[in-house]
Amino acid sequence: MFTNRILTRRGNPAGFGRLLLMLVVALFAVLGMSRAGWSASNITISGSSMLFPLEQVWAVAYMKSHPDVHISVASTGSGFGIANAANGNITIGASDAYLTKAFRKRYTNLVSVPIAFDDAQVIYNIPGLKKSTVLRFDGPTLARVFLGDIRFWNDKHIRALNPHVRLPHQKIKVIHRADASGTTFVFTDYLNQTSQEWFDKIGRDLSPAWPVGSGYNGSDAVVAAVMSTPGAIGYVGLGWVQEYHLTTAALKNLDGYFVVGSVDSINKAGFKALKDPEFPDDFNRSIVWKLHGKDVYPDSNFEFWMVNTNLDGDTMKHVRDLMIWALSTGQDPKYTVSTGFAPLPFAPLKPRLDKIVHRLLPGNTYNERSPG
Amino acid sequence: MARMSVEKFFAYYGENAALKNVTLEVPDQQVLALIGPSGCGKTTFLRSLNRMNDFVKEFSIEGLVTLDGVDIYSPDMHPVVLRRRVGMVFQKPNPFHKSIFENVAYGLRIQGIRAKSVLADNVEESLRSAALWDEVKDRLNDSAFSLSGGQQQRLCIARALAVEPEVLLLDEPASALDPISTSRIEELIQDLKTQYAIVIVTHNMQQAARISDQTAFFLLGEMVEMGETSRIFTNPSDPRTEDYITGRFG
Amino acid sequence: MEVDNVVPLEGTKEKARTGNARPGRVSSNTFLSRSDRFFGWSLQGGGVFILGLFSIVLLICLIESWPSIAKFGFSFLWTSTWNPAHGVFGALTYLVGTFWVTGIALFISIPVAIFSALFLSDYAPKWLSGIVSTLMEMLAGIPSIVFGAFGITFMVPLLRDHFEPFLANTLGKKWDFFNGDPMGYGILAAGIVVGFMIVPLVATVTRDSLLMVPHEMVEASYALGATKAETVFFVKLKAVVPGMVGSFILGFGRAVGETMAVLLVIGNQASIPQTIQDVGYTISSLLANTFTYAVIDPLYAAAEVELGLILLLITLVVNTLGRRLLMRLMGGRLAGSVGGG
Ligand SMILES: Nc1ncnc2c1ncn2[C@@H]1O[C@H](COP(=O)(O)OP(=O)(O)O)[C@@H](O)[C@H]1O
Ligand SMILES: [Mg+2]
Repeated sequence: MFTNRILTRRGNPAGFGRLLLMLVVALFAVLGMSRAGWSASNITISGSSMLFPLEQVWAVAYMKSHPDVHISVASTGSGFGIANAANGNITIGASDAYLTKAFRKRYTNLVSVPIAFDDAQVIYNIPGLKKSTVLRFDGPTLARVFLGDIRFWNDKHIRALNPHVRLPHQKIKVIHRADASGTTFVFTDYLNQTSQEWFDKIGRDLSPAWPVGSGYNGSDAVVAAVMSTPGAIGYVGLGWVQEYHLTTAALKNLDGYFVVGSVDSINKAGFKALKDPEFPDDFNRSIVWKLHGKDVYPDSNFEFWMVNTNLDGDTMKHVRDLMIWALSTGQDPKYTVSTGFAPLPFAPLKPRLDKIVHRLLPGNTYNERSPG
Repeated sequence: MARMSVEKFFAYYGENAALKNVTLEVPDQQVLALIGPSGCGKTTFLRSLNRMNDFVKEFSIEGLVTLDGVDIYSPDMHPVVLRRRVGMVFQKPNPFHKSIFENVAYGLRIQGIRAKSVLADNVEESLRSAALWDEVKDRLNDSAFSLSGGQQQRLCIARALAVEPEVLLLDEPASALDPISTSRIEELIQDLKTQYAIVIVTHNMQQAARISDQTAFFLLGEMVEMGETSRIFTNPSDPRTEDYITGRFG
Repeated sequence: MEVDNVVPLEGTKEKARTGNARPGRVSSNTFLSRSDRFFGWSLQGGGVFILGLFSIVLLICLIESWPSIAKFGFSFLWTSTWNPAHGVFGALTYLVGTFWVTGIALFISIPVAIFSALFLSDYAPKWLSGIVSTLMEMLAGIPSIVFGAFGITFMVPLLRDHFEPFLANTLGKKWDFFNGDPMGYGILAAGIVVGFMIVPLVATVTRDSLLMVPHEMVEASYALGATKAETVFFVKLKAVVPGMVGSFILGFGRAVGETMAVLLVIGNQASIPQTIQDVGYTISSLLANTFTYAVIDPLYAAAEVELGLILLLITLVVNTLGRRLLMRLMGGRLAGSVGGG
């Protein structure tokens, strides 16, 4: 069921509501209600608009089983989530991106917890092409398209990857997100890891300096723009692909396989990532393109909750309980898949999650419940 | 010779008759003064002579008004053409939101005159006729609203003269002005009557006596009597006229 | 009553009408004068409040944007690189985009608004003008996001499939500026949608001014043998110039700051438009899209606040210049004009 998703994501198609919420929250901050004002059982989650629908269904379910806890959720953008979790204005900051090195230096008191799994998929609108035709892309070619170096669909680089597809001499219209977006982060991360040119010129960001194309606020606007613009190419997350039954490109992964994004293929990617001992315990690192395997979709990544280590003990215990619930019960497809995420089996990762929980609340682990 | 003649003229605002059976002639190269108490229909009469009442809803007429023998309410006379031949100056100065020059030139411009020298000559001549030239010749591009009330009224007269009408209608042109401005305008009217047929509405008996050749007395929508001004003021034939000019009512 | 009764002597230049010709009435009633004074104070209070609010907003913007001002100085205005990842910020792209959208919007809306105002005040029958006026006032109250949605569903396809190719094939043959790639989204769509949004605003103010033109002035024109069209265009319109200029300034303010409707159709791309079919970016749509993210980095946030500050200053400058223009148009005095301000 996507009703909820439609209501939440579409209902806020642009930044105004977010701006308003931000103002309200900022007002609270100014009034000095940040710390003293919250009761211990009050948890405020704010940040990523992508995570917002999932957090909403989680909050409803969690408050039903935990009547003593009140959770309020707001979609204010990842940047706001991170900055305000760090200065203590909110309890949990939701972010589409992990903390890069620069931000880890700035926000030393934040611990990032991987909480859900999402991806970015490439969609296109090529006149004369059957709707079911799956194009193949590798990172360098995709980067050239988004850099504006490849300008026509029948460019030799695209043809080389798709020898059996008849591509028209049609101008490519690059379409990207205009607002800061986790999907953009995941997408540019893939380009960053696979194309030196992209790495040098643009880099990965929630809101990079796009060299060409046109930008749209929200994934729904991207879908609309791609569908209505002949020759368009764009990207959206799993949820949107499912909702609109979109055909998406197969992307080349580390082992040279072309894989289409799906609940199954990004679930596999997440599983691989969680098991890979090379990753740091807090996952503050890209997993894109680092994963081996035949069915692993290369352009997927975690969503994060940012928790301030200075939260008071009571609040921290409630946060810990909520976190553990979200990582286990909360991964049920009725929450995750219905809001556009892949369910992940976090349980096998107990040792790692133990360490995270311990950092937040010394002595506590992933499945041990502290008394009181 | 009469420029305009009015025969058995009735004017109605809806059901109300504002003018009843008026018959008179507007003589050429003379000043005709219309006198009578407020509300007796002087303005209505004046505005019927250039069809300005066409813009009043529910207004209707009966009877005949001619200009040089042509029925002005017939299809033979387009109102726009009529109003170029029968000019009007209103009770309150009403200049346009334009410069002094453009106020006077307006009537010419809408007749399609574009040549700068023609316009300039005409404007100067009209302003001289209206005895305003010397006061404004150095500030022709200033807004008309920078003039005093008396100057504005003379500007409105100049504006009316510029289109060279044959008949000039003046509706209490000096009622809002100070004595000095008033006397200037009176002099002006004296000068102008050599070229135009002039009809002036006034409440000021002395003024009527000073400047007009003929006087018509209106009362309750009827024209009581009309004649040589000197006779009307010295020896009126109707007792109502006498009562009015001696100030017994009104 | 006429205010002025002074006619200068021959040859002397008349002084402009001044207030001292009429001595102020000195009231012997102390209650009246006291309440007058109180009224004066409260008016002053209102003025001070506005001034204070404005200064505070300005000050906060200045403080918040200081890191960016200090780092980039005036080059912020004429550099076009905007790369948060590298900490480089230049406003030119967004200034140009804002300029285009506002310009196109005014170019489209001003003639349309003037003609609809004339229609409503002078040509439409009363019942129709009543209906249309009500509709127009409702239109002025519609949230801009609705205009944006209208832009996406109606204007964008229309532009992409018909109008933009048409422009390219006609004007585009002569001027490269019109010979772009039809996309639908872009500065043209944004300009048109914003233009539609400000038509009711400009038209309503202009209509109100037209309705306030004194009947005497209109009659004066007819009495000179003018037709209705001549009267309406050369006398009435001329009389409402101050009101119209005022409404243009209002429209400009609305256009330059319009956010949601622009954001939905402009194609939010930080590059300087080369053709009218190109996408672009305005200051306000950039802020709406990225400000919540920019707070993550002080310099990034400062650069965005500086953009907002620039927007504020642009509005201020245009308002001031508009006022000057008004004064000039009226020859230094607004006496008798209609709807000035
Ligand atoms: N526009 C109008 N609509 C209806 N009645 C009018 C109008 N103008 C004048 N009247 C009426 O016609 C009569 C004559 O008015 P008017 O010609 O203005 O008189 P005067 O100019 O002699 O004072 C008055 O009773 C007045 O109320
Ligand atoms: Mg009268």
